This record gives sequence, structure tokens and C-alpha cells, in this order.
Amino acid sequence: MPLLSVLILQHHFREKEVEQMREDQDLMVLEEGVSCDVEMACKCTKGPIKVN
Amino acid sequence: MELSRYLKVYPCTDKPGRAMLLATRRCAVLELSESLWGRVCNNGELSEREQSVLADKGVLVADAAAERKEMLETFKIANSRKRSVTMLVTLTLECNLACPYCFEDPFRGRFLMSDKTAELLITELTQKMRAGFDVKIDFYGGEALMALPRLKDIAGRLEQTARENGVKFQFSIITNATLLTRKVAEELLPLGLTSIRTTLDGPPDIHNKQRPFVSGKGSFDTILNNIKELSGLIPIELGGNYTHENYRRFPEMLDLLIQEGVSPETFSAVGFFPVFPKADGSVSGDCNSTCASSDEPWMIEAGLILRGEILRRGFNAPKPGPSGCMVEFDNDFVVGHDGKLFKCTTFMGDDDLCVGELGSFVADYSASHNRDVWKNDECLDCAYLPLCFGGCRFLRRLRTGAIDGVDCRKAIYDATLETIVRQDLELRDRA
Repeated sequence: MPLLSVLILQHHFREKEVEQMREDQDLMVLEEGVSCDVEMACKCTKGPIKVN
Repeated sequence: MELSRYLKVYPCTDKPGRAMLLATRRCAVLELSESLWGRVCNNGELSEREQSVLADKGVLVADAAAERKEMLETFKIANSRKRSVTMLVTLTLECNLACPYCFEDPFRGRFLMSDKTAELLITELTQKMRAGFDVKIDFYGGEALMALPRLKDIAGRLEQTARENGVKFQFSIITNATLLTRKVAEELLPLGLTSIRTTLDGPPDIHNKQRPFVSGKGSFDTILNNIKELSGLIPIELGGNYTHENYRRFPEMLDLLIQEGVSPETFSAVGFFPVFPKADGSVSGDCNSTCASSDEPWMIEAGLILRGEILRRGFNAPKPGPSGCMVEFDNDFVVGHDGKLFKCTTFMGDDDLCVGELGSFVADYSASHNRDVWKNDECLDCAYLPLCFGGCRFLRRLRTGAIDGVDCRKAIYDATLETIVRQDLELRDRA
């Protein structure tokens, strides 16, 4: 492959990388969360009630 | 795409120019730049990845009005998908402890599940298993282990039926753990025991006052010894009940557990809760700071402080998640020692809230339990709806004498949820 093509390709991938890094910093998932399925809230103990 | 209404936005005070989002339907947490947040709010251009992540986590939805309607169907969908039955089974109302705050005080006594009631329970659950349902029982009391032969009989027979029908049977025990030695646990494991839930009310001096044996002797040492024996054998969920006067001392108990060689990993979860009034609304003279509301300033402070101390020591505390009252789940019931069916353990002494009996049909309890209480504009537009669904019917009844509205939890979530999310991010898994 001609040197110029290699340089262009490298530049292209670096740009993509930089763009990806910017996007990664712009939006970070800190907690994936759970499915939307609801569970029973109140697992009662003998004493006072656990509320959520 | 549109913004979901089930979303909380918190500023990142320590990171200028950034915001934290909590999508409450999934309890996903995201951090993003204010410039991106601006584009999200103003329908600006988003990259494919940004759009996909925000949609996947529940921040963006195709149609916010449709999502609101979808919420109305939450439990209809959950019930249609659920292939399991959960029964909280009261084996006896007798207990070997005499806790002054016990909410069963108004109806406890030497009431044991009879042979006939046990047969009806087994028959009903066998029918469910034959229909392809998994069965989960939470054995309950009084002290469930005071009826150990009955527990073994029910569990043994259901375990065999489950095997014959290719479904799962498992059970947990809600127990004060005074009778749960390693030997007893080892006998119960092959019958389907998967976890226990027990209680330590703080360090020994507080616990022994709040959870004494009937004789008056303290129970802390007995329970601690049993927990040591059970460590590593079975997951233990640990609860504890505090008052305004004593909550600050609960972390001492966690330190004591560690000193005694009981590691945080022994417990699947730890959670402490304020003492609430008894089922009939009365309050023990020893626990005069009980309250029918959990949004009082001291309760908010106590809950957050204790949750932080639990996580800081490497114990697990439950994360917030989508949840609803047992009233919403068609197949799940509390079974009284006499076979009466209820939708909450606290309703057991009140025949007006009995919804049926083993072996007969279940009445339509929609009106008596105000099943659709949260299906109003205020709740449907509330970001906290997926975590709350109208709150606790017992607490509402304590406050007003009837299940005549929601137990709105907005104030408590406004005051606590951001801190809870940050605790999870900063303190969890640090140990």
C-alpha cells in the first residue's frame, strides 16, 4: 500500500478513536440498572415493616 | 425520541459541566456532559451510540405518552409473565421472643397450623406445580422454627412434587435465628432451603432489650453463635429495627460481627429500618419514637447514615429497583396459620382484609385493597412511580384508618434517592 494511503488510513482511524473517546467522555454509564420487571417491594420481617 | 418522564437529573457538584441521570424504570445511572444533556433536551443531533445508550437505559423513549400508558399495564404484564408462585406461610403465631414492638402482638399466641390446613396448602401448591409454576415459600411465624416438624413435612413433600413435575421449589425462613443451628440448617438444605432472613437490633445491650427471650434473657449471643455456624453455609439477609434514640449505635453491631469473625460476605444483604407501630396502630411503651410515616427528618437522616455505614464496612445494602406491593401480584399471598389468605402480614389479624382461604376461591380484593390507587395523573407523571407504585398500604391505613389513598413517597425520595445513588457509586465494593 502506498505510504500516503497508509497515512490517510492512520489519520482516519485516529480521528475515529478521538471521536469515540469524546463520545465516551460525553456519556458514561455508571450503573447498568436492572430489567423493567417489578419485584415485590415488601419482604416483611417479624418486627417493623421494611418499606422499599 | 422523547425524554422519559421517569427520570431524575442531579447536578454533579464536584464535576462542573456534568450531570447525573437516574432512569427510574431500570435504575440505570448515567453521567453526561451538559452540552450533551442540552442536545438531549432540545432535540439536538445525537450520535448513533448516544441515542442507542440513552434509549437502552430508559432515558429516551419513542413516545413518552405511550410510555405513561404502558405504566398502567405494569402489573398486568408482570402477572402474565410470572411463572412462579410466592407464598408467605405462617406456621405458628407462637414465638420464643417477646419483642416489645412486634406488630403481631395484637394477634399472637399458641396458634399452630393444623394438619388439615397444611394438607390444603400442599394440595394447592401441588396443583400450581402441575400447571408448570415454580413455587417459593417464605416460612414465617411467630417463630417459624417452633413448628420445625410441620415445616419439614411441607417442604419435604413439595420438594418431591417439584422434582416429579420438573419445576423448582425453594424456601426461605424468616426467623429470629435462635433455633437455627448448623445442624437444623443442614437438615433443611436438601428440602429446598435457599436463604434465611434474621434480625439483630444493634449492639448487645440494645438488641437484648428489644429482642429478649420470653424469659427476659437476652438473645444476642445465641443468635450471633448461630450466625457464626451458618456462615458460608447459607445466604443470610440481616435486618434490624431502630428507634430515634438508638440508631446511631447500630454500626457498632456491624463492627462487632467483623471482630467476631463474621465477614460481610456472610450476609446477602443488610438493611435497618425504623420501628413502626403494631398492626392495630398501638405503640409499645419501650419504643416511643415509632411513626406511621417514613419521611420524618430523623428517619431520613437515620436511613442514609446507616446505609452508608453498612456499605462502608463492605456489607451489601439493597439497591433501589422497580417494586410494588404484594397486592399487585395475582399469585402471591400471605397464608395465615388457619389457612386464611391475606395480602400483607400486617393484615393477618383483620378479617375485613382477608381475601380468601386455602381450598376455596380468592375474592376480588381490588376495592378493599385499593388496587388501582396509584393510577392517577399525579402518580403517573411522577418520576418515582416505578420505585413506589403507591407506597405501603399498611402505612396509609395506620395514618388514616383506611386504604383510602396512596402512601406518597415523593418527599422521602426527594430527600434520599440522590444520596443513595451516590452511596452505591462511591462506597459499594470498596472493601
